[in-house]
Amino acid sequence: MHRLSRWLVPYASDYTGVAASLYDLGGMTVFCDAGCCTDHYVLNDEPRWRDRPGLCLSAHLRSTEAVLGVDRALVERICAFARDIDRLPPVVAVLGTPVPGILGTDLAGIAAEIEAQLGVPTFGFATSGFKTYDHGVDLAARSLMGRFVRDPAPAPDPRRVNILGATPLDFGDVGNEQDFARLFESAGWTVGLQFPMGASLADLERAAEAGVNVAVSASGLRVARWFERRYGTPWIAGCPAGAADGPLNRALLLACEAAACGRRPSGWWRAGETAGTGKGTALVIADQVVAESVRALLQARDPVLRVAVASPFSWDRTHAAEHDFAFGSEEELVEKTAALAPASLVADPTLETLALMQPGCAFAPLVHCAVSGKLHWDDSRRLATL
Amino acid sequence: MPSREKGLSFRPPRPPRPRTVLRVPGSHTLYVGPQSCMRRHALGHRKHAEPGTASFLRVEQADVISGCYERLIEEAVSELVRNLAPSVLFINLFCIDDFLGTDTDSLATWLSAQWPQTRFVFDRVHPVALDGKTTMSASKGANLYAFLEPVEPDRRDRGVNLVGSFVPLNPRSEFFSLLDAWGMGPIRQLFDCKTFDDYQDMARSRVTVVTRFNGRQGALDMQRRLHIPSFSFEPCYDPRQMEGLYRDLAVLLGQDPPDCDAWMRDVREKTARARAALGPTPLVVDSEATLAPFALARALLDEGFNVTHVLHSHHAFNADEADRTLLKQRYPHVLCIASNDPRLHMADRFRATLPADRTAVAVGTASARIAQTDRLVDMWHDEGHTGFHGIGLLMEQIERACARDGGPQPREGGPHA
Repeated sequence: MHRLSRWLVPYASDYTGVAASLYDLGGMTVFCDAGCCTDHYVLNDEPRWRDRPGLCLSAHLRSTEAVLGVDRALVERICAFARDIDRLPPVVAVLGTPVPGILGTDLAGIAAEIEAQLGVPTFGFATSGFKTYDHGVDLAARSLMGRFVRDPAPAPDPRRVNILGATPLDFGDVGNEQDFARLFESAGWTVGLQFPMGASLADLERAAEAGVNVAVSASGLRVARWFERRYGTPWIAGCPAGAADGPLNRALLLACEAAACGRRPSGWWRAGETAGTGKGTALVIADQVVAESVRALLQARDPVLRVAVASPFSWDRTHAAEHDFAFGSEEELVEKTAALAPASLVADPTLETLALMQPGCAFAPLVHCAVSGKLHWDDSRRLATL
Repeated sequence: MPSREKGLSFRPPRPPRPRTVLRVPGSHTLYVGPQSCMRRHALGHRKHAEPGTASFLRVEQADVISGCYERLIEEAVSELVRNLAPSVLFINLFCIDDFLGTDTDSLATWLSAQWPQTRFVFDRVHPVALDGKTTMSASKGANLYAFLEPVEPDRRDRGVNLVGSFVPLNPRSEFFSLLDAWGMGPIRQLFDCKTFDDYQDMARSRVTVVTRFNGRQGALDMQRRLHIPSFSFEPCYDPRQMEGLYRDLAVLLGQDPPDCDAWMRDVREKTARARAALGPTPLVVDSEATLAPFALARALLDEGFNVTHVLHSHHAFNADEADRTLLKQRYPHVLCIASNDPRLHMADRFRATLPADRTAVAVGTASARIAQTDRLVDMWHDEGHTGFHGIGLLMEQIERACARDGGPQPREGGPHA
């Protein structure tokens, strides 16, 4: 039955993606929930919560309020609290969860009311808990950028880059986003906006000044495409990995340079290629952009190795190579993996069960926090060390 | 202090703890809901439960609108029963179901008719329905014992069911030697049951002792259906009350009341030592350490300790409401803060009466965070603290916490220490 999972963990959801994207802005995030959804996020999906808890709150909804209408009460509670803390938050966000999702709570309207009362930029995100985190990251990015990016911007700087899609859900809280920035800075670039880890409102304002956007994850790619449509900024999809002076990073930097100067169109840093001439196939299950980089590293070490990529999250069909696949359910994943019969599997530790189903399949863990959350977030790898 | 039942809620960070997933042997749990709701249960099962004892049925928004929700459950149940043949299938629903009105009684009846070898029960994780009147863990606790079948009188024994705790009580507690002296036994607890037959043996017991609030409903159900009397032995830190509990238990079991003098003497000595070590240093108590923080605070204050803050749960455990009132009446200076008070995000506001040199002693990690102290009595939900022994243990822990210069200390008491 395709909706039933016996061992595959349900993924981080859209409201988690939004909350994680807002975290470093230092604002106030209110989940329109009864308490559980907030707990899910802070205790299971937000590694930064342990040492630097943000202002993430629950609306503490109860049935009566939800049925009779929570809008006015929620506006009052949020405004009362915002005025009570030491200083007004720079941004306020109200996030939808399953209950307001099915009741049709007007989160945009609530946000407008709050903004009118507090004078603080306020967003209502129609998240629902039914979609995955990448939808939330995309939604948060478009909303924030649509609101804060200075438009029209000064002429873009061809040596200025935005890094989009570096979320703790994709990369953990182990310093990957710092490695990404360092790579570009050491190559003479100015890093403008890093979204969302490390983002600030000041960086958001100047985002359209970048000569190129680099999407380091699939959610970043969604944002980058939108950015290009809105501001004309070209993009390159590619996640830095391996040695700073290694072939992958060199190729990625060259692609960014070419895109910024208009010498190549927006696109992936390289075409996906499954085919090697060897017998065994390696399957990498991860965010599609990250998985492509892992594929490149594996093929650099063993040029005859066939490597396929799979992901349950945002999927660029135009980039997918032969044998690459998207999947929606545990049943579909098992079927497609069995058809591929991989000799090795690189995936989140919770997917080791899949490797055990394939005779003789070796397993190499690669933590994806949107899958395993708190179970393995401390084991996240710095991709620069792969 | 405004009620935290209405208002925004904050979840402070807390260290991870080992957990126990209570389970009827041979049972399986099917979670049904949006993926966001099921996620933490899936992660929790991975970490703490036996592999393969839970499955997850993802519901989409379209299912909610189209009304094919129940058919999805039927299909999923069919697959699980065919493949696993569980003794009991717990079907766990979430908040959205409160607004969909699934007729779970009819569905359970229909499922039972389809698969008579399996028992079906619906659980809910639905904080949206809490309204301060009950807790989910209490109602889930009742379902765990709902499958015990009555036994013939000649099969009844002098067993003692312990319900409510997720971990064994501290074996060093005099509670067990007392039961032994009364000829009571065996001790039966759900997490000790390896088979469904072991579980069914709980129906043979002489008495059910409720060791935590979430065991109350299950105990009442056993009393009603199986005629096993229940006795409340929830955490208590007042030695006089403890003596009264043992006296009442003796009456229930038709025994002579125990001589508690030696235990009381031991507790008095340890209390005096802890009080001498602590002096006027403030104590902060929280509901992560104990499910009865008002009762603990009141007991400590009665013994002359300087409790200044109580962080209490915003859930209605109804474990110590009477002590809450007593605290307000006798010790109005004590600052009581709901653990979900959003102002805890700015903990400085609550530190005005605490020593600036961070020498306060915290009973519980939430207290330690507020008081910014390393002098921690690292208790979790009263685990390891049973009877007079538990009171004495607490006093020893307070005395040791006073002696610390700082830095993390190993947890004491309880099987997960």
